[in-house]
Amino acid sequence: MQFDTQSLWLYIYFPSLQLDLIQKQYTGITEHDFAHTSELRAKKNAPQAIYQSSSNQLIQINNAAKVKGIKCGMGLAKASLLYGDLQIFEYKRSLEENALEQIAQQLYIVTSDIVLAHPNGLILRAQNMLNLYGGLAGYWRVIEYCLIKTNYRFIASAAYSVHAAKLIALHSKQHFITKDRSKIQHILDKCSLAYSDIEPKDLQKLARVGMHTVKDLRRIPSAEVAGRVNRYSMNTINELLGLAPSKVKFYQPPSSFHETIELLYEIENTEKLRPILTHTLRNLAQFLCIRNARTLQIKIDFLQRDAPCLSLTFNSALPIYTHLDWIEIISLKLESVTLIAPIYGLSLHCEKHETTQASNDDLFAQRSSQIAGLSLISRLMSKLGESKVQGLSYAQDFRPERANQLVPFTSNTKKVTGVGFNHDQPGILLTSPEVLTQQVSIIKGPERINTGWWDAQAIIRDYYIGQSQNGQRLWIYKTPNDQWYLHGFFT
Amino acid sequence: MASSPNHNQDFCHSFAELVCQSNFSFLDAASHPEEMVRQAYFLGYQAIAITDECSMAGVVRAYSEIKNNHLPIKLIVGSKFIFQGQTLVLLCPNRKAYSECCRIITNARRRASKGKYELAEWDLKTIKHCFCLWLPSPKGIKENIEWGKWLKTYFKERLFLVVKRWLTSNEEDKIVTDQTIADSLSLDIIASSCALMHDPGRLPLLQCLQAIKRGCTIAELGKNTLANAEACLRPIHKLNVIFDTEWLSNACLLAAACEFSLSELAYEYPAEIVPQDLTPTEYLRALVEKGIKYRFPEGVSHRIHEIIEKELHLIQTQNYEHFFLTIYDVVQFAKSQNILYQGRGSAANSVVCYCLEITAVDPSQIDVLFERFISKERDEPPDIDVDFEHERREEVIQYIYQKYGRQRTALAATVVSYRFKSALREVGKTLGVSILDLDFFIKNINRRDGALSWQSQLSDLGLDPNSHQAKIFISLVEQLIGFPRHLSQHVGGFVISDGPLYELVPVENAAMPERTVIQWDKDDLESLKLLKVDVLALGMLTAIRKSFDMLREQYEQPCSIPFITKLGDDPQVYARIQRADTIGIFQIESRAQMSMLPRLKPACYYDLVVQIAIVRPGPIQGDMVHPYLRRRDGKEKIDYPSEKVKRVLQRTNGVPIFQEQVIQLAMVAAGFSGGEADQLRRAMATWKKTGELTKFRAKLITGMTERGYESAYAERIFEQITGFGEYGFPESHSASFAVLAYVSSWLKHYYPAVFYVGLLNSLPMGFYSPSQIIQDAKRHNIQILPVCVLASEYDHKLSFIGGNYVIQLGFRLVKGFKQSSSEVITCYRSTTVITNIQQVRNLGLPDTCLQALASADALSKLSDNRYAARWQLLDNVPSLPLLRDTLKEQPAPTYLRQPSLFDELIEDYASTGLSVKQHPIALLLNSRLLPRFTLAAQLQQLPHKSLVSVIGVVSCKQSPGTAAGVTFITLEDHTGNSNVIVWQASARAQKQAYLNAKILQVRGILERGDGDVIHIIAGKLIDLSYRLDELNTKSREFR
Amino acid sequence: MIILCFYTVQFELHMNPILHELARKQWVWSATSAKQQKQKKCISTGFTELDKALNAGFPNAGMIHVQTITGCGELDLFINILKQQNVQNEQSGNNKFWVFVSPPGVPNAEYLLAQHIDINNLLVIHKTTTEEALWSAEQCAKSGACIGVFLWQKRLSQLQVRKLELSAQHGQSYCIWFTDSKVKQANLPLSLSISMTRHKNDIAIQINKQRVGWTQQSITLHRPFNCHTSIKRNKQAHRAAKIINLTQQSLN
Repeated sequence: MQFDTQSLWLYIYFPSLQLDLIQKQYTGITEHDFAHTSELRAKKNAPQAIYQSSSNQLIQINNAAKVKGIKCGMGLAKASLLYGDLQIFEYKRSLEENALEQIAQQLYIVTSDIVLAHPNGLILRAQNMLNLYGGLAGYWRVIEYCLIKTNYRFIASAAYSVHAAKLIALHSKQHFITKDRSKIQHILDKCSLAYSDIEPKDLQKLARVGMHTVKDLRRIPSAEVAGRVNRYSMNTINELLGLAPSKVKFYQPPSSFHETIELLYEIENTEKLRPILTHTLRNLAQFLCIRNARTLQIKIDFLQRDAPCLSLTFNSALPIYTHLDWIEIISLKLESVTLIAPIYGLSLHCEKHETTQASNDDLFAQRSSQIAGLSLISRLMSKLGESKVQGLSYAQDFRPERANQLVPFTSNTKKVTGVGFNHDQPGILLTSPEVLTQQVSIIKGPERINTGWWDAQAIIRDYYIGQSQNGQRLWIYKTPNDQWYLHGFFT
Repeated sequence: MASSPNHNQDFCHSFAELVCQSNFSFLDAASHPEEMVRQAYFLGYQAIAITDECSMAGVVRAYSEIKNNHLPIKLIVGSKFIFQGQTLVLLCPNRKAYSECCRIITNARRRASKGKYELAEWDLKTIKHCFCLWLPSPKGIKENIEWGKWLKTYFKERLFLVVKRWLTSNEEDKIVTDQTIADSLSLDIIASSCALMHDPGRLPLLQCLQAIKRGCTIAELGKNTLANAEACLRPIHKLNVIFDTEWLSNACLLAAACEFSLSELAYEYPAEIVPQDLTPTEYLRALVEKGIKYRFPEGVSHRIHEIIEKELHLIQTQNYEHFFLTIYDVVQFAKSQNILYQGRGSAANSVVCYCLEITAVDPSQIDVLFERFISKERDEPPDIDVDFEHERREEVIQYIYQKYGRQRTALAATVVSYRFKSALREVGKTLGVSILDLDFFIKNINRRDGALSWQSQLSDLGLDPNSHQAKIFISLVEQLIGFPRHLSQHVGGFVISDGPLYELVPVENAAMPERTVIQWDKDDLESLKLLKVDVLALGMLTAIRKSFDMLREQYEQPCSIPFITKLGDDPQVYARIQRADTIGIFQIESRAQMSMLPRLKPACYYDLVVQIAIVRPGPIQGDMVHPYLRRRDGKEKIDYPSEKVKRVLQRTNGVPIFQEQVIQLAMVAAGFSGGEADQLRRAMATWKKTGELTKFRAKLITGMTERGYESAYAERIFEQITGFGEYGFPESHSASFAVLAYVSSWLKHYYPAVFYVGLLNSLPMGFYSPSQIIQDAKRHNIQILPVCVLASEYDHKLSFIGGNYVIQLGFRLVKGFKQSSSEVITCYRSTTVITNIQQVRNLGLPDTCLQALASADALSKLSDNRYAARWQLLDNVPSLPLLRDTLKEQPAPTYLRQPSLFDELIEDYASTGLSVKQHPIALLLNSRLLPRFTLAAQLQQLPHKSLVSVIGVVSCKQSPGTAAGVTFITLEDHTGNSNVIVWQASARAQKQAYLNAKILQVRGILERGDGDVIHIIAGKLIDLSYRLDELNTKSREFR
Repeated sequence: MIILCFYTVQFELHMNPILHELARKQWVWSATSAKQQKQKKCISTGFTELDKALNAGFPNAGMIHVQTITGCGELDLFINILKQQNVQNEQSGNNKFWVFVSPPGVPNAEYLLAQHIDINNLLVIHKTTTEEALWSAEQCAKSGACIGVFLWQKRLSQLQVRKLELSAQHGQSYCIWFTDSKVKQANLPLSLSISMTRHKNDIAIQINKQRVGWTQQSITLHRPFNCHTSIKRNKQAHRAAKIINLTQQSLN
């Protein structure tokens, strides 16, 4: 969307999102966990830094680190020489992006036009909200209150172009909120171009003819500059100087399904929940249906009288949406649940859903057995618990215990191709090898396995194939000190 | 058959391992060749073949091990090849087979890029003598039989089938298949372990190497590695259990049929360097006699004549004539091309070499050096390195290639081995240690810390030494250090032979295009008594030659190295050296050397020889410097434990300083034989890599104490030997270097401007940046003109202005500026006067070059300032061809601001690395941004032990290995340098300033040492770098 | 329990409600239906002798009772047979599950991979109560998503067997029940019951009960390992002499 050059914008800059996130975690813990408070507080106040490996620089540091002489832009080696116990966290852009989106979600309640400037900035179009809140001061009070609650450090500034607001925010040490054009121009003039979106190559060009600030730039006729920088940089410059309108894309909040139902009477038997659940699940189905979506997981909180809320998550192995599908899965799981107190309400949450693929008729037959398989697994898992439904994983390792492991069943695992595998392998392995107690005659061997020294689970074994007197074919091995063990059957 | 195996039906008492790879099959095997042969001997094998993959690089090591220790085991030379999925091993039963094998390796290697090989069908078809051991691929029986038939056509009765047994799963099936193949082709089966390790204990290391090769962690290797440790040399009784007896005895029989030994290799020098009608001896004598007339026009003394005769006799008995003649030929070429050179090394400092013009060390000046250099009893091969101007060495190399042809010439190899850092990094990666942690370890481990081993430093850095992971990490690193990594080319060691070189040793491609390398290094060549010619590059020779050229052109003063040395020791030159005014002087310009010069006060040539050798880790670590000083100054009595020792040490006041002296001491005082002394010398050169030196410790110390020397003295000698390590400095080299040190000092003293220009035009070399050299020139009152588009050429040059020689800086200083652009400008200037920037633009130089000129302020004469110049250049309109002529000159844009002095300074440093006009300290001083301090030039006037504060740009920060825990910081201001010494404790306490400061204030105590050396012992370090930012803001506000 | 066997008499099912009920429960077998069954698809076991004994092979679905001690090649036999049937499924991209319920250990992935079975299609129900195990086996068998369910249980009741048999029929899959219990469980309502024993390389199979045809004498299958047991050999003709000749040649 494009806007005229008369709109007022706010830019909110979060200089240390990731670091603040880490701090928030500590705050969360200290409030609840009194036993470790002092230790945690010490940790919280220890020098910390966020490190970006791609540039080999520290990019965010806390005050404690600052005191130790550590600065942003330092390399790791230098920083660790300055303070050896510096806590270093690797920079994760995605963390900041998520945090930014959460902040946006919270702001969305109070203001409408929000732009995400990833990874650490938010742009608000203030102009159309001014009337609503009775002027800039009122608007800013609301925004500021909202932001302070998030516990992130931030710096905000107002200006009549997105770029100008951003430049001031990145440049200042405090909030700069005003509608006064001349004040804005005054502070903007002092801002270094280095924080702007002008391309680094052009920035360097300008710096080397002595143009470092917005003021330097303003002195020169725009046409003169245009011949000397590329088009992208020129657009930025024009926006910055208020000569061209801003172009932005506004943020849309994600949709998820939440429904809470208060029961008219208390229920003590899970069986009786069924009609109520069906009702809610119908609503969910409708919600999904409108969006042409399906979901893999729903969460239901059962509010119990005088007892903590019982939260259950229900998974389906394949995306579904109809209430009938869900009710089957839920019922199976509820069979094993006993209520400790009567239920007075429940809420259903569906955070994520996926858009349904237009189904192809030719593939339908094939999909149907796949669906049968997936719904079988959903059923088994609901009844037995997920841990008892297992699949087999194969790893490249000479140690049989490592090569072959039972793992929780998941669909869509990687394909293991069957080339170069040994014949003459036992069909069933014992969960752990047992001392050999019967007389066995050796048929074949040895196959020597001496490996695993690197992970402290070394084995040295000579494997043999043997046959017991009653005809069983056994996989047995001998250790270096001549102990014999049974490890598998040739079933 | 003498060594026929004791054969009975079901037990074979002997064995020969015929397929065995050493760690010279890089990353495929995990034992040194020496370990392989030792283990094979220990297990009672009758023979072992070293069959590295398409390589002979490891076999000489195995040969030396057997020879040096007189092991009764036969070494068989061979090589393994993978060809279209089939594994073949060629063994060399005789000399012809060996040549054949070398030729095939050479062909296969030359076809492929460095480090790879490509065997061709044709190679196999041409083999007439080698035995071929065949390991059929795991493919089907049918395909293998086809293969076998093909091989049999060419190898006939020389083809054998190898059965290997590693106790892996399904191995029996494969062996039965192989038996079927052997039966159907009637091949004999040979048993083999296909050893990759000498001992099963190396399995972890081998798997670590495999992981390095695949670039994964060991855990990720999965089944792409060995299931067990059976790929090693195994006891004979065990082999009897797992192999058919017949296969074992077949191996023994085949081994017995291999008669070739590396000792058969004889090296033939190129014949063409000797005229047909003369013997080499006659020709050498004739050349020496010619040289005598040239070198000694007034005739030779009886003494020198005697020495010449003695040297010639020695050369004749050792058959070294060709070696001297070859070098003579090379230096003759250099001389004809006016390329400056200088020979050095033990044999170079002989009168014969002086007469052959290989060296310029004038024997009448330094007769004390005679006789020491060729020694028959030591039986060392003669050692002559020839240094050439670094910019022109390529011409010499091309001459050698051209004269002898590529088939007969190649560079010696250098085996690049795993060092501590590379071993730690590679092992760490295979164990899944994060790269961040590894970098942290590497950066924070001080390998020079003698007190704390790296293993314990690692635990200080947070690695739990008792954890399983740490233990295997440390043990693997320890094992990997010293393992060969790859072959690289020797810096300049040429091997030239009479016939094609590939019949003597395999030749492969080097990383540099058009270079070929043999598979043996310097030590291997020595072991086999082959000779190499060292053609090295030396920057100082370039600088000296350029200075000589300028002297001839500008002063009409012909000059040469012999000319200067003939003038005799010049007290004025030595006075300058004693003042440590030696920036840019060869070998004595480092901080350590400069702080020692005023104390040692060299006053003659031999003093310089000592000076160069004494400021080295060896003598310093062995605590030899102070005794030397005290004794020379007569403060300490000189006594010798014995007359023999006196003869060795007299010339250095009883203190061993040179490598030769240490070797000789080992012989006369500890009773080392000539051969042992030679091994000691080699161990010294490589001990950091292989740690072999410790083997000699006991022998040296007991040898000396048995002969009545004090054990403390013996310990000190051994300390010094370890200290010498890789930096060991022989007297013979020092003697040659001293000549160049003197010549450069002489030039700096008498023709400083010429010297600086010569030096600046030969950079990069030495210790100093152009900025530091130009600062030094300015302090010697030489005017420097900045780079200018109207006056500069590519090189710096001398200009004669106002009765003085001044230095006009050249375009080569400008970063990003190309020589070709410089030529365009000078060419244009020769016809037209440049008056405006548009003219320069019209020359069509690349944009980057124009920008670079503007940055360097080289357009300052055509424009108000560099901002204006650059603004004009940035505009892309006038570069359109149509407009080019219409727009002649633009008015300078008024809206641009003037660059401040600070801006100018920053630009100067960014574009040329130096500023002729400004110094940051001067600028800060004038802006009143600095606290009170003493300028470098004023320090001379302060008394000893006075409190002082200095401020300067940190131009140099060294923590030399020679001084534990001390950092030398050089602070530069516009008047000169101040030398600061920071003790470890001060540095640690003030880490921030110590590590970060670009501009540093030091408060401390001024100390005057021996010879009036001024140091400031740092107390307080204050980082003033932020003042630059203030200066920046300040300059903006006042524009 | 009444056991009714009609060998020769032909009858009309709808004429006798009791019989009708029995037939519906498949408790009666008639010789005519033997013929009909023969025309129904049977799965060849790959062993002619066994096929003959089973009247052309395994039924195309249902429950099979296998009485054997562990380690006689029992799983191998069934996997080999069922695998052939699965080829068709795999070609159409229709991956069905192999289900192991309460096995006496962990199925060995390397063994299955060597049999070209995609281990992603493997489902193991482990550490459950008998009741859960049977419920799972039943669910799997009837789901139509499984090629076969291998069930290890000591004893099963008539009713349990009946449920599983019906499930397998319904899902067109196999439920193979391994037991090492020596106790004879006669007249189980299932498709096939056999006993297996092994001696060296031979497996002896005794057919205890099958829906069609008679129990027979045991038959023997020869099932050796692929392996070679020794590589040592003692050849009389020794060719060393030839090498010595060669030596002399090369010295020339």
